[in-house]
Amino acid sequence: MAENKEELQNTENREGQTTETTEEAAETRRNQYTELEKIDIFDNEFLPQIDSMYNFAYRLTFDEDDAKDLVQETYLKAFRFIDSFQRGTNAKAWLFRILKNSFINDFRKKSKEPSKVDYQEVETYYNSEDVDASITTDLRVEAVQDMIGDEVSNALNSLAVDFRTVIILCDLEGFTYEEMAKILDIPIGTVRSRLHRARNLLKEKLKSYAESMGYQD
Amino acid sequence: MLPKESPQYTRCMELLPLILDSQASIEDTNFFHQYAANWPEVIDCYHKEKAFRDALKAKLGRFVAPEDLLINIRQHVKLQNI
Repeated sequence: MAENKEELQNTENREGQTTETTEEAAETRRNQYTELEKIDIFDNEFLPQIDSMYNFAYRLTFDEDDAKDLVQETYLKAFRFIDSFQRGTNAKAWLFRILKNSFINDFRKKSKEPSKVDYQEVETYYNSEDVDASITTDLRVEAVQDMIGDEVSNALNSLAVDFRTVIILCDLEGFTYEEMAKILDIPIGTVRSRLHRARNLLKEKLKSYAESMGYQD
Repeated sequence: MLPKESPQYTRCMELLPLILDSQASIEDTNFFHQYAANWPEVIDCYHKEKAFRDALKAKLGRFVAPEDLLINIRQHVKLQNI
């Protein structure tokens, strides 16, 4: 996996370097797949992830066309840099990382900048191995069960994109902390703290909805 | 029944999020299941958090990629590959 991370970083570096030469790119490549192998990897390892990719893209952009563009752009980049992908490793995580970076680099600039969070304060406090479950926000789960999907989606969408992302990756896509750390390029401790904070924020949002529905603590 | 001041209680609370996210090692999972039953609040917290995650997943559901997306991607890749 460490090797794959390096590959991913190489891919991203190349994506960001518009002036790079073909020779430089060739030096960082680890594989030289044949055309048939490329198609095989693309069809059998990349394309099966399309629903997860679209789901992630839609939850980042809130727009069907933007989500489609983002997924398409991700797949084209993935194909272009397919030699950086180590066959048989985690294609889904590799693709998600490209998608996340494409979103940050391109889509975020085009659209209205999402609200940013001052993580420093939050993560200095939470960035440790002993994230304390006892400070979890309390929420009556039956209230969430009585909500419609749109209300829960709205609450999730109202979170800052980095908080929203960790919930999607962990709770909807089932990535491990280690995979999330690689996708987001942050330490595992930060994944845990951000996830903890994100869930608490989401619960606070849902609690407001629940109270408006008549649920009391 | 072990007191709340015991190191096992602290460890169970530390492990709780890892257990819920299926990120704990087998050793830690066994530890949690061995000791958590000592404190009803730990078990209660476990069930509440698990129910929250399940409800979240169920309510949010998933968006499925439109059919034309796959077709477009294949077309573009074909062009890129020529």
